[in-house]
Amino acid sequence: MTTPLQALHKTLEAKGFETLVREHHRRLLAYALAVVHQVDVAEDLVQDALLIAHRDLVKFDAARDFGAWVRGIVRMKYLEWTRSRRTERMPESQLEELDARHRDWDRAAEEGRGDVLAALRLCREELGGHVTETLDLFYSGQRSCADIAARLGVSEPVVRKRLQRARDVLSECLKKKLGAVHDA
Amino acid sequence: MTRDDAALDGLLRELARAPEGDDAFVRRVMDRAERRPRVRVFLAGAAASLILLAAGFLLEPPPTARIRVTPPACLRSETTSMRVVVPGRSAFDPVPVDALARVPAGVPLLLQAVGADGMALWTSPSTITLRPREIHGDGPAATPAERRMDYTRDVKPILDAHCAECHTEAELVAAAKPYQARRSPVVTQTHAPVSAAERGRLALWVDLGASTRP
Repeated sequence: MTTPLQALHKTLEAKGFETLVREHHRRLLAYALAVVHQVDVAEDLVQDALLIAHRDLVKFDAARDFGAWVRGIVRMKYLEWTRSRRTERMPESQLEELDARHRDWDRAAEEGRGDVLAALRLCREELGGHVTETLDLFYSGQRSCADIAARLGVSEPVVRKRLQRARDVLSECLKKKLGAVHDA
Repeated sequence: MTRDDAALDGLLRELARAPEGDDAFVRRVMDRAERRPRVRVFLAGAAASLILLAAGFLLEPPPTARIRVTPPACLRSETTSMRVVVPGRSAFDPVPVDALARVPAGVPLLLQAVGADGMALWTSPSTITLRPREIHGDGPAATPAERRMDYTRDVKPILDAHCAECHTEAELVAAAKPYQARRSPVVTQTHAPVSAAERGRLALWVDLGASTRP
């Protein structure tokens, strides 16, 4: 009979820690970026969480998903970070909802219905010109709504409306691509 | 932001952060993960060094001093050897008269002039505590061995075996005459057959102050 620890060791022998990091780091960063919105902080949180995971691998229950386990550590590191910075934290209910959404995506990947980031990349390509431009300026250009409004010659509410519309369209697109789990 | 929005927002930020994937991030994590054991080995080494240093400090022999052991002039002819004692605790083996003896520093000591019977003829009236490496006299120094005296282990069994039938322990201790074994009834007036070794042990106990503390 194989114990969970033996199963984990087998998994690690087969994949190696680096492979696990490669498989999961982007989703972990997406989780961290959803709560902190700052790239450098999110990278630090995920790096620290992965190092803790590397150190505590023996404590890991192999029956669980590696990504979900490390996500829990990222969450813990995020709470520590908000305490140390005395900064406002995301409400607990919203964190729970965020976790639930990531669990949905974990399940979609396990069941072979696709990777959410790959699906999102495809969905983005389906967006219209103005919306894509606004989305790029906001996320890739990291510009404020006021900046984007000035640059595009529109009002701030229009920018916000376009961003919301983009999110709505992408969300619907993900539901279609990842299947029923997204409606759960 | 709704549940969908927050999660989706994180995904969009991640796609914007590294549109083509991020090998550099993985390398950074792996570098740090692989460096950790080295840091741990270094810390373990540092801890081991500290332990060794502490052990070295603890294992270092206690500081000593040297003192010339001279009997009072009036007793010089009767004195066969000199002895250094730690009151109530231990005696160092006797050394020749006027010898230089290496003794522990920082410990209150008494000097005793010892007669042919092995008992103290004289005990210095007050203790002397020497500083580390303090030297009183030139020349080679003897290093007498220290003999610990424990009342419960070394004395009480003798008293129990030979004296307890007629005397209580308290009576015997009260009659002991500390530092004066030659005049102590516990040593000189034993009715029961006490062996020479047992008598010598009783005498040394009295000459050390007849302490009953462990």
